[in-house]
Amino acid sequence: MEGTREYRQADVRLREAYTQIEATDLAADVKTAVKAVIAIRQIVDWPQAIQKGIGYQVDPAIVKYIRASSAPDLPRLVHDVITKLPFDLAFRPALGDYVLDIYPQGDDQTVWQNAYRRLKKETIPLVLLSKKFYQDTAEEAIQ
Amino acid sequence: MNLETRFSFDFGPVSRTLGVLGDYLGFASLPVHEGLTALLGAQDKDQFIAWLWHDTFKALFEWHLRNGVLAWHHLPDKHIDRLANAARVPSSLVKNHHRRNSSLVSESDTVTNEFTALHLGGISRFVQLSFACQPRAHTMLLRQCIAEAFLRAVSQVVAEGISKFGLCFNRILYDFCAQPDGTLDPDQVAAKYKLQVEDDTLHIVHWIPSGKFAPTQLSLSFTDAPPHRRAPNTLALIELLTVYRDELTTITAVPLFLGNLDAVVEEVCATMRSLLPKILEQTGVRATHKRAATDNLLDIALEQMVEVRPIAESCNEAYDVMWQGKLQKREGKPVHKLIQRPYQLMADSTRARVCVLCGTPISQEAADCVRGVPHLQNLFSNNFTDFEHVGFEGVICPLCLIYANSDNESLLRGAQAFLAPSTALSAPVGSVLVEQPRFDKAGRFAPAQPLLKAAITLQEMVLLTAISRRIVDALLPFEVDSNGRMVGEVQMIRPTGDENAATPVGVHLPYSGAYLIYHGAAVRLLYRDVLVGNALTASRLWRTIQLRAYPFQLEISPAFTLLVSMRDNASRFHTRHTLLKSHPSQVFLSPNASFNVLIDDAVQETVDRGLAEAIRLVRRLADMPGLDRQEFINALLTGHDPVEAAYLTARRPRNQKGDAFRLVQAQRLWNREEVIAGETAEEQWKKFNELSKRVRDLAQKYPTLLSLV
Repeated sequence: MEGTREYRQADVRLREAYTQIEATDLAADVKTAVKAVIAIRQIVDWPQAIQKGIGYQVDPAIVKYIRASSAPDLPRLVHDVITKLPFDLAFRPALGDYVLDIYPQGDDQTVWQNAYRRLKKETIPLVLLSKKFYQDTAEEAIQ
Repeated sequence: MNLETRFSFDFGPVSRTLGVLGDYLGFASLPVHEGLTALLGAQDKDQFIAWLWHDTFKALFEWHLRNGVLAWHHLPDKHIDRLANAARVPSSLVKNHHRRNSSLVSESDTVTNEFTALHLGGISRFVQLSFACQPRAHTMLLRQCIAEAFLRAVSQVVAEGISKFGLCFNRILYDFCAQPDGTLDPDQVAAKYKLQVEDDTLHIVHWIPSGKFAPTQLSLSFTDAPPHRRAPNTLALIELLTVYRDELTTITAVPLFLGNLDAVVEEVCATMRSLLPKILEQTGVRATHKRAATDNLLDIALEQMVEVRPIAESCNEAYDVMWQGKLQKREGKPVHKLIQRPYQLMADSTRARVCVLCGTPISQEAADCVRGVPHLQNLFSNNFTDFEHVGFEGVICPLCLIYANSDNESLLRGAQAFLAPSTALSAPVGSVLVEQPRFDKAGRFAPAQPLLKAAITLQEMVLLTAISRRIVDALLPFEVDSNGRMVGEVQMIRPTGDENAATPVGVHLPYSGAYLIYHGAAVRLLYRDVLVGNALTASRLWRTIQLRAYPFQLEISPAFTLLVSMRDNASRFHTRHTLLKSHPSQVFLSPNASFNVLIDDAVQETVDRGLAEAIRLVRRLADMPGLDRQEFINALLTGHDPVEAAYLTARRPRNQKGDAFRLVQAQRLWNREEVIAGETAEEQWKKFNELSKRVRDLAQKYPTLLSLV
């Protein structure tokens, strides 16, 4: 069993990223799709992945899992991908308030449905776009 | 010489202002004007020489107000005496050339009518070649060969006439130098003008009183030599003589000094007929067919489908002009009626039959060129399948019968590109005044009094045709080896080891300036790298050309005729007659230019600027290292966006497992400027979506074109 790792304050950094996304003029469904990608990427223990020499394989894996998932909606898609990532490379906090934005709110769920469709169809551009908002230095190995 | 330089022209300063008030710009240069007046208006040797320099001192741009009228002062007596002495002609010819009692004919009766720009001069004479057939692609080469023989014949006949003068020169060099010294008066600058014969050249040195004038020169040749492909500032005799060209007609000037026009035209016809078989032979076209009713198929074609006629004073029509406040009667040859001649011929009621291939009305004599019933299977082969592109019933004309000869397969079938000069200009002509000339005391070229518009007269038509030829020469990325033959061989030079290998890829007709490229790889190269443009150079088609004509800088859109048929290996298939399905286009060099391209034996697309840019963009992306080019394009065709396509078609690096390389490749493509220009996420996402949409539209609308990027 490895030693206790430093808590990464994912919720704080995620909130910052979400605030940045909200401040843009991107379409609502694009914003939501990008938030979903970030919700997935932020759980990865990038230093650990780099150290193991597989950092560059994380995003391809995320892309593959997003596409392969048969989850019917956006939150379940995010959850589905997260559970597929290797447990030793991922923090697994319960998806809660801090990813509230990816959950449908109100009666009109169009935005979330569109975001789900977009994420399935435009996975790669959205993953690449998400880096604009959540670029951990450790992830640079993928460049 | 770089490519851009070859699309910028400077043939010398302007020679005339036109219109009733002289407020229209004539952009043909002084040498073109003087050369044309010599060819059209001279009646003997002295007049010929005098016309060659009659407006020399216009290059001083000395304007005065004379009785309230703007006047171009260009006849300084003592300097004309000096030049006339050097030229050994009576100075009175030049001095009096504007006077009514002059022995020289009036310029407005020869070079052009300068008022309405709708008529050619009343006294000037021409010979016109017309084809009584539809401008279809499959007879284009044959028509161009006939036009080549015609132009070569005209050139020979006129050059022979000039040679009878016994001139001590056979070319003239107009030199224009800058004289920036602002302290000199017109007389002092005029004193620097020189005229002298050096070897075989009459050399005239002009000095333009300007600090902004860029020196230039233009030489005119009076021998029957064809135009030189790489000498843009030399006009061959046939270029000066060619007044108008399009696919169906060619009009050339006939000098007055040649004497009886009918006799001249007869001589041109006879020379043309004797030259044509040789030209066809060297081009590789056999003017025969196994089903022809006669061995003289070419003679029938010339008799029934081709007309060479004199354009004399009998073609003049009266019209009214306002001159100095009074209505005056003038006579001239209406240009539009001359151009319509092929259609007049086709409208002849004796042409009661219709050619099944080209749709041309033909006479029974022409229809009788075939032995027996003209079934298409008999004329082509049993496998002829392109019935949807021809008429249901009818006869066949001699030109189409020659096309149908299976011996002509390589030249008249399959992948082809055809480029030929033409006389056309797209409006508007943009002109910028470089400066008001120093001696323009009357304000003719004052910035506050701009010339209203550009007028296109006979001399501008000559210039446009010459420019069109240079455009075609500049566009062609191949070499030409004439090797003393009448027809040049177009060669594609490819490096093979230490040496270059030359592959024959087409033919060049030097007098008509037309190129036929019949080699599939060469056609593709021309299409991809020149017409659409490659990564290094965007196509030159979508920009106007620059014409410097002091004191103006002009932007004009001249045109040329283009046919591109891309069907690969079509010559292997008798049954695929690509030229029946394609149509030549008149391409104007401007942002709105477009051209047709026949692809894959079935689809003809029109490529415009937007489409060409999209194709170049896709090509740039597809050429990215690490991508399987063809698979990438296939992925785009099936609807994937470029990033996704890059992900799917990334080449696996050696010794790499997993799929990470795919995302690396997608990321590389994403990072490219074409994909996500801009700083913010919104800009990047917007740019990416625009690109995706553009590529998707391209893939949906032009799948065949995309497959050829």
